[in-house]
Amino acid sequence: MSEPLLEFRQVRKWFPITGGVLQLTIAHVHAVDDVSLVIHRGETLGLVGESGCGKSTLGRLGVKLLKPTRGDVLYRGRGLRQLWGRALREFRRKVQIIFQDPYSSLNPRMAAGGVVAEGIAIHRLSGGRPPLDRAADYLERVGLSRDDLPRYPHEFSGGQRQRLGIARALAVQPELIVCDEPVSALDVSIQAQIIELLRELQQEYGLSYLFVAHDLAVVRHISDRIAVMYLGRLCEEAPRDLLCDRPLHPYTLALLSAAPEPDPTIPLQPIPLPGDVPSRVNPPKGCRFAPRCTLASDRCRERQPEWREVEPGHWVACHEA
Amino acid sequence: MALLEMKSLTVDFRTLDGALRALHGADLTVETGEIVGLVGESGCGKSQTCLSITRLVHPSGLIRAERLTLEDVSLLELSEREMRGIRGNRISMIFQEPMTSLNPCITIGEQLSEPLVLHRGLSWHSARDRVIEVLGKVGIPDPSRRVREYPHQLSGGMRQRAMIAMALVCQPRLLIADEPTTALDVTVQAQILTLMKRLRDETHAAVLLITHNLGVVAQVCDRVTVMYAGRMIESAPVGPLFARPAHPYTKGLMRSVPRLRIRSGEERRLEAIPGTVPNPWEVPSGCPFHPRCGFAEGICQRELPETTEPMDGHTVACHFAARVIEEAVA
Repeated sequence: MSEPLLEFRQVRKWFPITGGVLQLTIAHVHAVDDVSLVIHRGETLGLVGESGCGKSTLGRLGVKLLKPTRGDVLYRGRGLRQLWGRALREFRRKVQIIFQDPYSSLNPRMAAGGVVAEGIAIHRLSGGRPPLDRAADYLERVGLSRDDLPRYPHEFSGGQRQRLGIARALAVQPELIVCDEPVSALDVSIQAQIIELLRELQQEYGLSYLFVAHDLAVVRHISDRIAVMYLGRLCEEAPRDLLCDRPLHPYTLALLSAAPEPDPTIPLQPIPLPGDVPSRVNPPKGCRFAPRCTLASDRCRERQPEWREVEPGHWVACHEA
Repeated sequence: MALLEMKSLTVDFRTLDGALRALHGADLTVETGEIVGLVGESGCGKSQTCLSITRLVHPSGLIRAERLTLEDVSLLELSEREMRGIRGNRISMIFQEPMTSLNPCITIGEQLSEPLVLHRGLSWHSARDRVIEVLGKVGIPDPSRRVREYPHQLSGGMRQRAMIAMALVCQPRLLIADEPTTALDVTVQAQILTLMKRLRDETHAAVLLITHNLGVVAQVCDRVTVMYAGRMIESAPVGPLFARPAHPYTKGLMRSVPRLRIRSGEERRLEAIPGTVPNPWEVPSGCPFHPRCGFAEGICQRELPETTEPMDGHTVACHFAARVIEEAVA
């Protein structure tokens, strides 16, 4: 295995809820709890889960848009808490993020050229050429054209805006890109274009991705390894095919069984999940999935299962696995 | 007699820049007890088709059709008052985002009772009993407590169930569901899809399901119509459509979706359809798909393809349908 690039060590992120006249903290939303994950150089780690499971929060912790409540995020072995000055600036360049809705993440008053050239200029990456000229190269690389330089975000379609978001991230020569649901807002035919573009760019520039998404089929397609989250905790992590073909955690099984296959000869047979996702303010004290799990025993309701490696590279947090 | 018959439906919008045609002669039939899928990408006209059936298109839009009937009643000839008697009664709709279609200030029970009071003349009291019964049927636990709650007290999946219950209280003949599961998580989506199939079996209502998700289509629909740039380009029972798509666009869509159940280690590049959906103001000449089509030849640029029926019950509008099918079989 190649060197670890980004590492989450027992990371926890709780958001305070304030209330009362004094706005005191009365409770916490447990967004991410004790998550440990490693992303290696050149690989894609897919992170799946349903809304509110904390996958986007984890992505944001990875690019230091949020600071962990406890635990550490390390980039090339250095804790993000210790980064400042030049080292922090270098980190900001090397680790980029692209968002689900590129429209709300692009400045509406900045033309495409500016969006892409800004990073190039700030990090002095134009190699003596005008930054806009370099920006045009990146626009062309992602399938836009040089003529798009003066166009504003609202003049682009959804797929083109996502390409612009990718060009912006790519222009500062990053090592890792956190992709936060980059294709879920796009039409099917455009979604495929963007996925293939991301794969090509990975080959070409040796990029690593943390690919956050809720669509398992998309994640299986693009990832080397997949991690599944439920209610702020990791359930299972394994190489892609292992996770999809031999899942061990009951939640992974339920998630896989619920995905409708675009093939009428493979009928949908979802494993029923009774009830709703519990509150993230008062998560269940044992296994977080226990209240909805058909295999749950008293042990599951009482004790948090430990994160253990059941076979090489296959991690799971389940008493019954 | 089909439940819903639509023939050559066009919708034109008056705009400051002139007339804009959103639908170009759409044909659709829905039989009793059938789930028909309407598939296409944003802006292809699938939502306009549904809004035309309930005559809810924007006031600047003009609907014309050779035929648009529900149980032989021509919907376009009804007065607005008569039409109101049909909406929510014989035709009801479910939308994508339940939170925006439920009134946040009114309890679930009251909202769901309203159609019964309006259309069936029930008292609020007896309507409530029926509402509790329907809520139970769509899988909402403890319905007699839930009727006193407000939409924000329900989870996303429960809200969508409440929407479905609201659409079903008057036992409609046709249920139009516009992307009913798009905003939901997959596990909830699977529950809602299973529910819709079960309700169809129990009530024999027909469902017109609008979606862009081919997985959803494959799993719940009996027949499918594919739309592109305001036209219906292919229509077939779900099995043959997935096994032998006859239109290059349909085929392209199927090749561009990632599949979950593949053999281990199988690398499959997604074959994306190049280009983008045309802007309704600049629809290409001839076949609107030709600039993105791998099969296109000169004729595609000049002539709009006629709709043909190369196989029983399988219609397609493509000059080279035969070649597309041949390639699918090979």
